[in-house]
Amino acid sequence: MGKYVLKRLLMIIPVLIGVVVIIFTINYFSTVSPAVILCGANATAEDIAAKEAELGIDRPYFVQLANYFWNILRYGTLGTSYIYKQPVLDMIGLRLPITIRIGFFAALLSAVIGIPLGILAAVKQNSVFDYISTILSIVLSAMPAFFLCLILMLFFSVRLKWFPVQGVESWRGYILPIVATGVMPIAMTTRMTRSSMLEVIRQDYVRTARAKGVPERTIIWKHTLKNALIPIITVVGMNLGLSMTGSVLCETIFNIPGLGLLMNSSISMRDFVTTQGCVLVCAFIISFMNLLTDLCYAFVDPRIKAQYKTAKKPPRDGQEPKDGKEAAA
Amino acid sequence: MNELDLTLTAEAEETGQSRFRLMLKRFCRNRMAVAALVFLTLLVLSAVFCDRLTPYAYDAQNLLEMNQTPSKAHLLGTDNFGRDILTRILRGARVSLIVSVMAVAMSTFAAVILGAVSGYYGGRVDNIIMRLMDMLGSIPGMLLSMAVSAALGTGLVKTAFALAIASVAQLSRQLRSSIMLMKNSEYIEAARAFGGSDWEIITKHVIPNCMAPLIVQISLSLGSTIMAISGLSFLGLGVQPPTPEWGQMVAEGQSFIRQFPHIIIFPGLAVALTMLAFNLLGDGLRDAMDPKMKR
Repeated sequence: MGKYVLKRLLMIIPVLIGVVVIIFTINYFSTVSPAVILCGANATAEDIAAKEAELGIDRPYFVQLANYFWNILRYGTLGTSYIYKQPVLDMIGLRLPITIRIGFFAALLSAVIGIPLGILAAVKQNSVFDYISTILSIVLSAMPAFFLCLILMLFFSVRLKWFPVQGVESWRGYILPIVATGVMPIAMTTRMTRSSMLEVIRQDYVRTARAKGVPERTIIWKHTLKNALIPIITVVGMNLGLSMTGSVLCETIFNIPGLGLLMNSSISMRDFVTTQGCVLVCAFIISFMNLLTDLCYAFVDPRIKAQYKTAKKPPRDGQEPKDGKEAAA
Repeated sequence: MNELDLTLTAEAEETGQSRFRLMLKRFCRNRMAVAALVFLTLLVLSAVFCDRLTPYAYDAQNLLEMNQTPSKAHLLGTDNFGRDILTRILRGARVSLIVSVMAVAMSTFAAVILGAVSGYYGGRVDNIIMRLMDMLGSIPGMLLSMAVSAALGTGLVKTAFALAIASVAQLSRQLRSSIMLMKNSEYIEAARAFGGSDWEIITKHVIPNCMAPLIVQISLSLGSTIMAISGLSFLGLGVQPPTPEWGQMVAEGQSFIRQFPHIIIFPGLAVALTMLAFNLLGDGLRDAMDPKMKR
C-alpha cells in the first residue's frame, strides 16, 4: 500500500511539469503582452520593450521556461507577480485557506445532502419523492453558477438582508458562497448515488438477501450502499478537488479574496507568473484529491485493496469505478 | 459491436423493426426529452429568424425606455440602455448556439482522432496521449478556457477554440474507453482478417460504431459549452459587446440587480433552460439507444 501511495505521489510530478509547460506555452503566445497593460495606453514602443526586458519576457521560450523551473527547484519560489510586485507563493498562501474553506464545506454539503437524498430516491424508486428529487437535481445541475450566485444574493442579501452582499469578514459571508458552490455538486451526488444504488439493488445477491428475510434496513446499509459506494466516492472526490480550487465566478461575484478571484484578475491583467502559480497549485490539489479518492476505494472495496498491494494503478478512465471493480474481481 | 448496439440489434431482430425506428419509438415515449427537443428546435428557429421576430434591433438604444419591466411593447422589458431584452436574448441564442456548435465540433474532431488512435493502438501511443490528457484534465476547465481566451483574444472562433481545448481531455477519455471495449470484437477481427488497413478499420468500423455514445455525449457537451460560454462572457473574456450574449447580458445588468432584477433574470433563465434542454435531450437519447441504462 505504502509503495503504491509513493508511486502515485511521484506520478503527480510529471503531470505538474506538463501543466506548467501547457499554461506557460498558452501565456507565451498571448497576443497581448503584460508590458502593454503595465505601461498603460500612452506608452511608446520603447517603454514597452524596456518593461518586457525588466520582466524578462523578451527572452526566448526555452530560456524563460527553464528559468521558471530553475526558480522552483533552486529557490522554491513561483516568481514575483507583475502587477502586485509580491511573491506569487505568498499571495497564494494568503488566499488559499479561504478558498479551501469554501470548497471543503461545499463538498461536505454536497455529500451530506446528496448521498441521503440519492439513497432515499433509489429506495423509493418511482415514488413522488423520487420524481421530485430527480427533477430538482436535473434543474439544479443546469443552473449557471453566476446566475445562482446573483439570485441568492438578490434574495438573501439584498431583499432579506440575512447575509452580507460581499466579502468574508464574518462567518455569515461564507454561507452564500458555500451554498452557491455546493448546489451543482449536490445535484451530481444525488443523481450518481441514486443510479449507483439502483444498479446494486437489482443484483441477485440483494434479491437473495431479501429472500432470506434479511431486514430492509440491513439490506440497504450493509449490502447495497457498501457496494454502491465506489461511484459515489468518485463524484464526491471530484467535487472536492474542483471546489477546493475555487470557483472563479462565485468568488468574483461575492468579491471573496480567494484563489478564484486572484486567478480571474491575473488572467485578465496578463499577470502570467501569477496565473502559472495558481494553475500549478490547482493541478496539485486536483491530482492529490484523485489520489485520496483512489485510496478511499481501498477502504470500501477489499478487492481494490488487494490490487493496490501489487502497486497497480486502477483504471481511472471512462467507466472507472466499474472497470476498477471488474479488474479487481 | 459494442454493448449498446447489440442490445438494439437484438431487440430490432425480435420485433422485426429497424434499429432506427426502435430508437425513435423509445425516444418519443420519453416526454421530457421530446419537450426538450421541441424547445431546442424552437430556439434554433428563433435564433435563425430573430431579426424578423421582434420589431426592435438588438443594439438599438432608446434612452426614453430605459429599465422597463415586462410590458406589451417589450415582453421581457428593456435594459439600462433601453434595448429590448427579448430581442437581445434571441440574438444571444444565435451567438451561443454558433459558438457552442463550433466548440463541440472542434473538441469532438480532436477527441475522435485522439481517442481512436489511443484506444485502437494501445501501448506506448496510448500511454503518451493519455498522459497528455491527464495533464490537460488536471487544469480546471473554466481556468483553461479563460487562459486560452485571454491569450488568443476575443472573437467567436477564438472563444470556441478556448472552450474546445478545455473539453478535449474528458471527451477523448470517454471515446477511448468505448473503443477499447470494442477493439477485440469479432467484426473488427474479421475486418482485419480481410486485410483492412488500420486507417480503414478505424474510420469504417471503429468510429461509426462509437456513434451512439458519441451522439449522447455531443448533446450533453453542447449544453455545458453554452454554460461555459456564458461564464466566460460574464467575466468579460468571451463574446464582446455590442454582440449580445446571455452571460454578458447578466454581467451588464449586475449593477442594477437591486432596482431592476429582470435585466439579469431573463438571460440567466435562458442559459439555464437551454442547458436543461440539452441535458434532457442527452438523457433521452441515451435511454433510447441503450434501454439497459434506463433508470
